[in-house]
Amino acid sequence: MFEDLLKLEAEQRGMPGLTYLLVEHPLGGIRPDAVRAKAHAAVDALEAALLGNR
Amino acid sequence: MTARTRPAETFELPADPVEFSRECQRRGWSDGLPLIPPTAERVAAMVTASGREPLELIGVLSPRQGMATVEAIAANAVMAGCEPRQFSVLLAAVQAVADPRFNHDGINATTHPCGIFVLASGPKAREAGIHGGTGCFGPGFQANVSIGRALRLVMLNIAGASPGVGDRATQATPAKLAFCATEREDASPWPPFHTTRGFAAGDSCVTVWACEGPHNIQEHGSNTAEGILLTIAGAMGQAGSNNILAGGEPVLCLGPEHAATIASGGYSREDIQQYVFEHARYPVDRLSPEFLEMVRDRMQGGEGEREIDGTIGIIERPEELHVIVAGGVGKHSCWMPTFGGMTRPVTVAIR
Repeated sequence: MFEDLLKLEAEQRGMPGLTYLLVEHPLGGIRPDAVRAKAHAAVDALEAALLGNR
Repeated sequence: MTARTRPAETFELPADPVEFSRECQRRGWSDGLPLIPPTAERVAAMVTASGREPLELIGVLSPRQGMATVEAIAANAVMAGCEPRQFSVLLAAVQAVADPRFNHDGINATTHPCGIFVLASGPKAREAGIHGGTGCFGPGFQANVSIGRALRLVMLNIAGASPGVGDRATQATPAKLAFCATEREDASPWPPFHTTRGFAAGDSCVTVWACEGPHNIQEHGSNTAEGILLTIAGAMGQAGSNNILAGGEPVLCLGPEHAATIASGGYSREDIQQYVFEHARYPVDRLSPEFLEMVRDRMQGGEGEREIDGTIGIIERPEELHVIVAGGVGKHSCWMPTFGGMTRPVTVAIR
C-alpha cells in the first residue's frame, strides 16, 4: 500500500536503487499471531536480500 | 538566488479558466476546484507584495523534497485565489509547516485525516481580511478559504502529498481543503492566544496544527462555567481521537457565549486547561485490552504518561491544551483533535 510512497521518498532523497522489504498492510490492529507471521516472513525476505538470493 | 533554489518551471496551458482547471486536474495539480491561472504577472505581483526575494527558500517539503520558494508558493497562492495582501500570512504558514516539530512528513503520509489549521493572529491577520466571527470555519470568507486552500495546494504541488500517493489518509476530511481563521480577540475574556506562544498582543503571527476538522460541542442547557466545562470535557475525553492514543496538543475553540459564561465563573485560560486535563479522560475498562496495551506501550516508550486512576487523558500536561475564542452568536464551541504527540503546533511571525 505504501510502496509507491517509499519509491517516491527514496528517489527524492537520492536513493533510487534503495533495496527494500515489503510487509503487507496492515501491521496495526491485527492479532499477535498475524504479526508474528508477517515478522517471520520479513526475516526470510531480509535474509534473501542480504545474501543476494532475491 | 541561492545555491539550492532555481526559478520555477513554466508551462504553456490554456488561458481559459475552465480548460486550465481541467488540465491541472489531469496533471494532478488540483484540489478538485477551479483554479486561477498563475501567469507570470500574477505570480510577480504576489511576490512583490511580500517584499521577499522570489527564490528565497521557505522550506523543503516532503515526500517530494520539494523546494518551497517564495515564487513557487506564490504560484499556488494565485491558483487558490489569494490576494497579494494575504501572501505574507501564507508564507508564514508554510514556514511553520516546514518546521521539524510540526512533522509534516508524517502528517502528509499518515492514514489519519489531518488538515492543517492555520490560526492567524494580530494586525496582519486583520489586514489580510481573515475572519474569526460567525461562520469562520465555513464557506463565504475569501481570505480564510483562499489562504487555507493555497496551503493545501502547496502540500499537493510542492510537497507531493497527492491523495493515494504522498497522502495516504484513509478517508481524509473536508478540513484538508481549507482551514484558516483568526481569533475573536474582541469577544475573548482572556489575552489573545498568541500571547501564550511568546508573542506580544500587537504582534502578527501564524500558528499551525495538524488536526481534524472541528468537532462541535453544543451546550444549550448549562448556565454555569462548571456545567459547560463538564460537557466540554465529556466531548473531548472520547475514545476515537488520536489524542487518547498518543497525547498531543489539541485545540479547544470556545464560542463567545460559552467563553463569557466560563469567564464569569472566574475561570482563566489556565483554569480551563487544568479542568480539561483533569476531566477529559476515558475509562480504561471501556477500551479493548489490545488497544489499552498499545496505548500503555506508547506511553512507556516515551509518549508521555496520561493514565491516572483508571482513565486515559487526552493531554499529558494542562498547557498542552490550546484555548482560543472564535465564532458568532450561539451556544456552540468545538475542539480539534490532533494527530497526537507526533506533531506539535508551531507559531511563526508574519513578516
